[in-house]
Amino acid sequence: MRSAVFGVFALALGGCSPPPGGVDDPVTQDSDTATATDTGSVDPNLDSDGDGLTDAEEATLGTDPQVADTDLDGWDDGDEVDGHTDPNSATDHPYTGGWAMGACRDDLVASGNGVGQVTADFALLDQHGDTVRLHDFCDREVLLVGAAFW
Amino acid sequence: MITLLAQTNSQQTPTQADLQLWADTYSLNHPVVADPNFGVTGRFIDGNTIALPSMTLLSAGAQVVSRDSWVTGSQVAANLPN
Repeated sequence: MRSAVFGVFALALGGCSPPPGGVDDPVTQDSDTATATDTGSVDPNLDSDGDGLTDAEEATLGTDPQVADTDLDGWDDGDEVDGHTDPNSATDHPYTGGWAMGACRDDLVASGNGVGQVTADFALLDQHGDTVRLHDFCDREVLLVGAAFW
Repeated sequence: MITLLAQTNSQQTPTQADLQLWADTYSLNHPVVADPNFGVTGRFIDGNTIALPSMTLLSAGAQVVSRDSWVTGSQVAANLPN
């Protein structure tokens, strides 16, 4: 008789399994206010596709956070942003030859071809098959050398 | 530096292969671009005669510093961006 009572007492003191439906936890309980479970714990540094841009940054840019190269031009979105090109445009990407582009590439306003004037942009084929724009080099000095085969 | 290559031996607009040949021949690591009919080179030439090689120096911001004349090293140094 004594051992039976002891056994029941031990069972009452030992760990209990949570009742079906889980434990009522103020943090997870549904309420009218937002909770950690309602919004989910979001890592601000999450980069789902490993392209160098966080998912939050991609949401701002309109690029796909699940695809490293949204416009499928061969350049990851993060590399395009670093290179001042449009990660949503397959025709705008860093140069194959590696020439860096200035952030001011779309800001120049042509005024003429005389000394002191800003010459107009051009878009010409290069040795790698890319189209080179003069104004992409807006942030540096440029020496233009005219030549020809003969 | 950008090389504006206007024409081939047969006075045709250079192809990509021609541009690559020029870059390889002279070991160039800067853009070598096709300039059909001297369209860009001719911007900076006064008169009807284009002497080659022609040189045009632009400061940052694509502003013309020197056109249709030899560019010196001191000119290049003087116009380097800060």
